[in-house]
Amino acid sequence: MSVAVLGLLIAAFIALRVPIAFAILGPCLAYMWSHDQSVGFAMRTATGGVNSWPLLAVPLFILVGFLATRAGIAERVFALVLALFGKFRGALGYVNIGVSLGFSWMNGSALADAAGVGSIEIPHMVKKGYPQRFAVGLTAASSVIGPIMPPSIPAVVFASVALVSTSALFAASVVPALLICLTLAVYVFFWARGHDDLPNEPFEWAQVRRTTLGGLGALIAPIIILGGILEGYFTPTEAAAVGAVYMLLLGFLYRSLKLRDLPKVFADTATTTAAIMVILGASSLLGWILARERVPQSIAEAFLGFTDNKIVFLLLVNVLLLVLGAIIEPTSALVISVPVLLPVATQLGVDPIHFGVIVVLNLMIGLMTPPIGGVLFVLSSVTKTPVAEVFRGVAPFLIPLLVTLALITFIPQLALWLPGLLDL
Amino acid sequence: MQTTTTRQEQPWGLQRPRWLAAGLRGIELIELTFGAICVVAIVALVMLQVLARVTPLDNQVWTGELARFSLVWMSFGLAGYLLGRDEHIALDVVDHVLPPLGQRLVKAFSLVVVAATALMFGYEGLDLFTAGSPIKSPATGIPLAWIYFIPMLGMALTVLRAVVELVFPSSHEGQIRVAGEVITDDTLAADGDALTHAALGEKPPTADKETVR
Repeated sequence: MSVAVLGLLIAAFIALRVPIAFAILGPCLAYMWSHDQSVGFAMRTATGGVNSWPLLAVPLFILVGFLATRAGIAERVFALVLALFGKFRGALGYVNIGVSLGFSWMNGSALADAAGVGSIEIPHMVKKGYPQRFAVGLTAASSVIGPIMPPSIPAVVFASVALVSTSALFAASVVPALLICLTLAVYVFFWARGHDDLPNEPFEWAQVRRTTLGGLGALIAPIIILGGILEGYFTPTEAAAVGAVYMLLLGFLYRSLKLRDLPKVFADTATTTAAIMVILGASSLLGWILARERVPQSIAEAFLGFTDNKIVFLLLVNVLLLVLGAIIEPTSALVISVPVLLPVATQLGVDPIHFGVIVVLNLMIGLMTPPIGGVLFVLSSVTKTPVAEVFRGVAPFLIPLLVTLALITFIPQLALWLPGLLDL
Repeated sequence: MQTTTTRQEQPWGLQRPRWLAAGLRGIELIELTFGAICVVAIVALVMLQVLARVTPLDNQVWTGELARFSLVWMSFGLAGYLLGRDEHIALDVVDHVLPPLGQRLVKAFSLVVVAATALMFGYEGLDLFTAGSPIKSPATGIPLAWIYFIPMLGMALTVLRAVVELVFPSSHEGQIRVAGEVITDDTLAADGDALTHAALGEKPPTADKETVR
């Protein structure tokens, strides 16, 4: 079996609704057996791809997100941000962004953000007279902050596939995540100028004090998780475990988490993790085959024959990943594309950490675009609105996100400044 | 994380017998319990490493190794459960563009591919398990052959699910999966209302919550 047939089979199986892990694994096994590789080698390679200390952060960060949701952290952050920013014109727009930022420290998934935070914010915004399209679009756009700001599950997966430091990638993602907040806030500012009729929330110190006390536990979480990693107290995996234990204690302290909730939380963590990890295992085998066949080198030569301009390459990568992200689930798109694109990027002098930030941001924007955009489906369910209508709301917010993507792509220092400062 | 949506479809094939449905539910319960135990084990083992750093405890190398093995076992051990629940990550565009008959044919083809793949992969695991290799893992001393037992079992259960789904298909229509939870449209809307009231310190009028799983 040639590598071209292998690629075609994988693409055909994915298109024909075969689970992506098996769509990769099946043709890879056929390749291994047709090339007389010893029986058992494929199993060793696939399980070896998952048998990784950095990847242990994935189930742990997923657990942190589930526990934070169950513990009612999103509601507390919402109440706090509303008390702080409620008096500005278009306040609920800024609150929407602020809540996603606050929740992002505990949650590395755009879908969890859209479902958890969106289900609080959208009804409130609509009730206060904001157009539903605006509320849905902004919620979708701000949900991208979650998987960019550490802890980020796609970043952990990228670091594992690309063999780069997870801590460095986490640090590199902080400024881009804040930049997304800023560009979205600018959009809200200009939008709100044309909507004088929107009501404000009164600013009261008593309310700020009350909600700050209520949200204190949530405010400490990023200090433990991100502070622990960036200050070198914990590895990302250890920080995730500490974060999970902290969320567990916080949930019990708030009395929003019951012992009887835990089996379901743990089981959901296990199934969500397994769905990601089995793809990573299969992609390890695919990676081994691609390396054996020198595919990355061939693609690198083809790319370099076309252009040796870093800027043109990054533009092409952005277009490719935006399309890929719109049709394939991000983790799958990541494990398929990174082994092929990263060698070209490094040959052209693109820093792997910078490249990681670009890849993750592209794939997350893909979550907001048809036909597969998961965030669209989630918000369609939350608001009981057709997916097409949700996309009409989301479409204008693609502009600030694409502006952010362009800034991060062409000004590498935006991503690389913090890891450099922290010597990571 | 994934979102899976499935269009309305009528199950084809034979009605699933009660004994089979009950048996599969029992297997699911065992799989979920196993997965939950792996998660707890990972948290506990990684925390032991953290504690070893900040307390006078010796660093126990075996904790890291066992945590990694737990991740492997959980990942491949739950493959069958995910197939049975249609929760594997898949590109389901065909569900939106094909007529019902086309959807059924594609689903059947997909299940055949999964069964064949799981059979081949499970055979690899069986070969490693029965090879009788004397090699043990460096820290825990677990025979390496045993490491592959659970992935092999996971693949066997995947073949079982694929065959059962082919002959006695179940329907997952209207299912939306968000961040690990299978939720109905109504649940999301009800959760949204309830959370909004909670956030604003208001008393919700009614809480009408229903979780599928």
